[in-house]
Amino acid sequence: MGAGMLDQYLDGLLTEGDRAAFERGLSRDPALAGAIACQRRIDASLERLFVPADLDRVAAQLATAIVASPMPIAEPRRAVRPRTFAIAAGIALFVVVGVQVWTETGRRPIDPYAPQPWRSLSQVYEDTVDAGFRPQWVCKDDREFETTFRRRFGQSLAMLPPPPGIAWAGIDYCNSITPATTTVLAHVYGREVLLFVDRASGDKEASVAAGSGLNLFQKRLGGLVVYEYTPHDRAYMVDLLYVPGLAGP
Amino acid sequence: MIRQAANPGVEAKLRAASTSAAEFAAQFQASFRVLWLIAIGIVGESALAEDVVQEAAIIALGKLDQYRAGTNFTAWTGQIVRNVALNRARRERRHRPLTIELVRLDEGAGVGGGAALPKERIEFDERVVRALGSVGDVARACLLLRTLEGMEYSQISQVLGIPEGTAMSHVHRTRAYLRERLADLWKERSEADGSFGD
Repeated sequence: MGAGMLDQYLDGLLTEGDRAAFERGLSRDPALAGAIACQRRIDASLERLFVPADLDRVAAQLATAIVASPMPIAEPRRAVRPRTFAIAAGIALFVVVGVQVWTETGRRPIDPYAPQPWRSLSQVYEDTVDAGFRPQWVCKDDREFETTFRRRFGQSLAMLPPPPGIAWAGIDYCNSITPATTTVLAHVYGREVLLFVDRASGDKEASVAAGSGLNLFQKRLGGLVVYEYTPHDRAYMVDLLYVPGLAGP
Repeated sequence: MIRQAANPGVEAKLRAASTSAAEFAAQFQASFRVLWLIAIGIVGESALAEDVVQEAAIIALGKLDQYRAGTNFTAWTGQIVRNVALNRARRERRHRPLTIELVRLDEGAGVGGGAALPKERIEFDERVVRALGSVGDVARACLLLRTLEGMEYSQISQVLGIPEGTAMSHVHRTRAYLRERLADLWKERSEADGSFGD
């Protein structure tokens, strides 16, 4: 029996008579029987690997975002991402890649997948400071920090233990570089510093607001871009981040 | 926060397409699994697949006046997803090699209460992923649509905009290639543990 017959069998395209004959022949052809069993195992792997458990929920959230969308839709090429719909859809779709384990830190928890309005880096910095510079979540350990970025952006991100005078505070979410921007809060020598992390492919070359007294530093880490928004005149935090397995800190 | 105010441009296109935003959303939701499989099949990475489906939704809304109510919505949006995904994969590959990324259901073990997979199955899964990395983008999408969604070759042909025979050929050749790449491990495991080859 040839490969064509095997594929027709796997596709369920054989007639009842041909199928019965094919299956009778399997007992005399262990190689063919093994091929079918191997194929079944491969198919089971595909099912396990490529169908996120939360797909229906994501689809429902996306549908809700479409109905509510006020986005201008005539020129998708000019600015595809910064749309209210894109925000909603993008954040909703994050459910696909991640179950995240975070510890609440006292602020009223937000849904990290909920749509947010676009804000500039400066605005996010001001808002975060005005709100007491408290993160939404604090990772339980370094591994969760890494896993969060891997699931969110497809690439891990790790952090070194900070030197005295510098402390990681936690993580928040915003819509700035893309709707998926993740911020890392830190205290650096008594001042609030914010890191904005996103996919490098979505980078729009952010700038600092004139006259703000703040500085902006950018660094590429593999497929990610990290901006350090800081009142200091040098970057302290970005060099504490590294991509595991890609480059040493 | 999502504002509820309607956009005149959207409304005009919805009228031209004889559909409503709610109908569009409902159809998009119904097609979502297929669209997701096309995207992940072509770009390979779940994060990129998210972007692709999102961007395709925006484009589909922008072109809604080209859609005729009652025709195959999944095929219409599927081809948009395919084009966006192929463009995105090309663009990304200029900067880095794309890899096939697992969307493991067992990653939530310990978080959502799921049980971790046996080590042997994880190893097998990883070998499947590595083998899939050597398969063409569209062939991979064909295989996923056929295997995971049970789509007929004529349906795959419609959503990917390729001839039916090509869709079938992609699936058959990719299956054979995967079996060839996995045969040694499958044989080893099934001999060591009879339940593995079930």
